[in-house]
Amino acid sequence: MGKTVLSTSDISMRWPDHRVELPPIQVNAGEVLGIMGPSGSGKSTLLRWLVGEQQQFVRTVGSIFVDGVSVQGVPVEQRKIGILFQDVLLFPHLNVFDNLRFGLPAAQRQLSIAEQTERIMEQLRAIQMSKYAQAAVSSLSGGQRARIGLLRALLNKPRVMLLDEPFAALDARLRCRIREWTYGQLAEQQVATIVVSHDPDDIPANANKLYWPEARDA
Amino acid sequence: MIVAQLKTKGGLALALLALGLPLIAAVLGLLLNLRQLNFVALLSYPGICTMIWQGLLVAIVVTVIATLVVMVSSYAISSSGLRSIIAIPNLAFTVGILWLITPTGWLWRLLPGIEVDLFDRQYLLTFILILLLKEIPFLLFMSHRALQQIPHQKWLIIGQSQGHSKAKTWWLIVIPALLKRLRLPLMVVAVYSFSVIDIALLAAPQLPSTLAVQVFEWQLNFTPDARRLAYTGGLVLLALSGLLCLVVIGQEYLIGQWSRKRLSSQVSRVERLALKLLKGLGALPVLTRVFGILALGALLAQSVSRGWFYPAILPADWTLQGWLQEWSYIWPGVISALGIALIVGLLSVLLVTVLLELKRTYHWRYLAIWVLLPLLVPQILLVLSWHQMTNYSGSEAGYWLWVIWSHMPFSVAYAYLVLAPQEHAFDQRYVLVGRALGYSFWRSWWRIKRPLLAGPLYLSLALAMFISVTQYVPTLILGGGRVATVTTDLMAASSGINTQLAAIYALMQWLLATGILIGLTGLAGQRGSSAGEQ
Repeated sequence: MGKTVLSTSDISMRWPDHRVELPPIQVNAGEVLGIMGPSGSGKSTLLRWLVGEQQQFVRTVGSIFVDGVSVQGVPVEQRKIGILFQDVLLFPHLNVFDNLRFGLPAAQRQLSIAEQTERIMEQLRAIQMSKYAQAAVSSLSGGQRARIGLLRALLNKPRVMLLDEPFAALDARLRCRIREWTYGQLAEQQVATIVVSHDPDDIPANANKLYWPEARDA
Repeated sequence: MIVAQLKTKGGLALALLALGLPLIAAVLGLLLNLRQLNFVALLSYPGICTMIWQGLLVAIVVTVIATLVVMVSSYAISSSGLRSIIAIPNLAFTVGILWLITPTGWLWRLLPGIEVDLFDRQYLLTFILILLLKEIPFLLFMSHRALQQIPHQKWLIIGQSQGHSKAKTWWLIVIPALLKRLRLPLMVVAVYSFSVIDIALLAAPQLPSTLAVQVFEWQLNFTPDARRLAYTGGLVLLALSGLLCLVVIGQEYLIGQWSRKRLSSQVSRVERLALKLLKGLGALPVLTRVFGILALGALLAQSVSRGWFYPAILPADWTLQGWLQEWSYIWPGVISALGIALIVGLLSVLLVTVLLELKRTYHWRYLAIWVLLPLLVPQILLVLSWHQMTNYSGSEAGYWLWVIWSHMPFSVAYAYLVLAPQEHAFDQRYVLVGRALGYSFWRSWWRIKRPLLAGPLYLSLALAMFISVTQYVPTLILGGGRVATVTTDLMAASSGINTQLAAIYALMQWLLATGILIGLTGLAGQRGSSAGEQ
C-alpha cells in the first residue's frame, strides 16, 4: 500500500436548505477513490472545494491535507492538486502543443524552448499523438481530447488528481479504452486520484468507494 | 483564495473607491447644497411647467415608441447594421439630421413637391424624431443581447408545436421575458431622453427649453440665485427621472398582464388590428439606417460646398477651403478627445474587469445597479454635484484630470453593459484549470481568460472610448472651459450660423468616434474568431 497523499476530515457542506457531512477521506499514492451518488448531490462541488475554490451558495468547511501538510488557505496553484472535467477544457485558443506547454511545471517553464519541446514531444509520442502537436484542439476527437487533457494535467506532476465525470462525454467503445489508459497512467505516476461519477463502471474495480451521504436538514 | 491572489484588501478598496467615489462625491455635492435649495423660486420661474411637461412628454413618447419598435422588430433585425448607427455620435448625428429634415433641408430638396414644416430647428417633434432615431438602434442592440440570453427560438418552436402561431408565441411568451431583461436599458433611454442636453441645445424648443437645458444654463450663469435654481432644478430632474423609471416598470407590467390574460383567451379583433398596425413601426429601424447614411452624406456635402442656397439640390460649387482653413484648429480638439478617450477607455475596461472578478469572489449581487447608476441619474445633476465638490481652480493639468474623472462613470457603465454578459457566460473552470496547473489567478486570467474574451474586451474598450469622445457637459463644466475637445468645438461651431463649419466639426467627431468603434470592433471580431477557430 502506498503512502497516504490526500486526507480530509470533518468536511461539512451546507446549502441554504440542506447539509451533507462527509466521512474522513484518505487516498494513497497510486490509488483511486470513487465517489458515487446522484447527479446534483454536490460531488463536483466537493472536488472544486478540494482543488481550492469556494462555490457560491454552498459553504464547505473541513480539513484537507496533502502529504500530511494542511493546504487550507493555500491557493489553488500551490496545492499540487490537478483537476479534469468531463469536457476536458483544453484551451481553445492554443493548439495541442501549447496546451501541453502550459501544463509544464513552473521549474520546467524556465528550460529552453528546445528542451521544453523535446519533453512535450516525448509525451506525445508515447501516446501516438505526435503528429497532432500543431493541431487545433477543436479538430481532435473526443478520445484524443481526453488523452491530451490528462497528459496536460500529468505533465504538471500533481500529487492528487480529481476526475469529475471524466468519461461521460465519450461513446461506449472509446470509454472503456480511455478509462483503462487513464487509470493506468495515474497508477504509473503514483498519483492519488478521486473520481466522481454516477456510473459505477467508471470506477475501477479495485478502487475504494464512497457513497454520497444522505442530505440532512440545514 | 482569489482574495489572497488579488492581495485583495488594497485592490478591493481601490475598486470600491473608483466605483463609489463619483457617486459619493455626487451625494456630498448635493448635501452641501441642501441649504441652497429653493423650490419656491424654481416653481415661480417663468415657463417652468412647460419645461417640465415638455421633457416628460419627450421622454415618455420616445420610450413608448422605442419599446413598441423593439417588440415588433427584434426578431427580424440583425445586430450588425445597428452598430454603425450606434457608432454615430449624438451631436454629429443631430447636426446632420437637422440639415436634412428642417424645412429648407436637403431631404425636401431631394423630394420636390413635398413640403413638410413639421420638423423645424428647435421643434419638439424634431427633438423627438432625433432621439428616436438614436435610441432605437441602441435598444435593438440591447434587445439582441437580451435575446441571446433566453432560449426564444426553442420557446417559439414549443409554442408552435402546441398549436399557437409564431406571432402569438412571440407576443405572449417571448416579449414579457424580453421586456424584463430590457428594463434597465429602457430606463436608461427614458432618463436620457428626459435629461439630455447636447441634442436638446440644438434640436429642442428653447423658449422655454427643457428643464435639463435650463439647469445647464443656470449652472453656466455665475450668480448665486442662478446656482440655487440649478441645484433645485437638478433635484427635480432626479425626482422626475425616478418617476420615468416607474413608467418603464408600469409599461412592462401592463404588457405582462395583457400577455397573461391572452394566454387563456383569444386576441380580440381590435387587438389584432392594433398589432398589424404596429408592424408598420418595423420600418423605423430601416429608417434610422437611411437617415444615418443621408446625414453623413449631407454633412460631407455641406463641408465642401460653396453657395448652397434653397432649393438647390447641390451646391453651386465645391471647395475644400473650409477644411483647409479649419484644419489647424480641428486637430488639437481631435487629439485631446482621443487622448482623453484612450485613458478613460483603458481605465474603464481595467476597472470593469477587476470589479467583475471581485463580484465573482464576493458574490456581489447589486454591482450592476451601482455601476449603471450614472446612466439612471440625470447627467447634469451628477456634473453639478461634482463641480460643487471639486470646485477646482488650479493648474491646467488639474482640469484635464477632472475631465477624465468625470467621463469615467459613463464609460465604465457602458463598458460594463458590453462586458458583463459575456464575462458571465464565460466558463470560469478554464481559469480554475489554469490555476490547478500552477498559474496564479491573474496569470491564468491573462493567459486564458483574456484571449478568450478578447472580442468583448475590445468591444467594451471601443464603447468606453466612444462614450468619452461624445461627452459634452462634463467636459465643459469640469474642464472649466479650459479643456477643448472636438465635441466642445462642435457645439461651439453648431451654435453659430456657419453651417459649413458645423458640418466640418461634426464630420470630424463622427470620423473619430466611428473610427474608434469600427477599428476596435474589427479587432474584436478578428480576435474573437481566431480564439474560436483554434
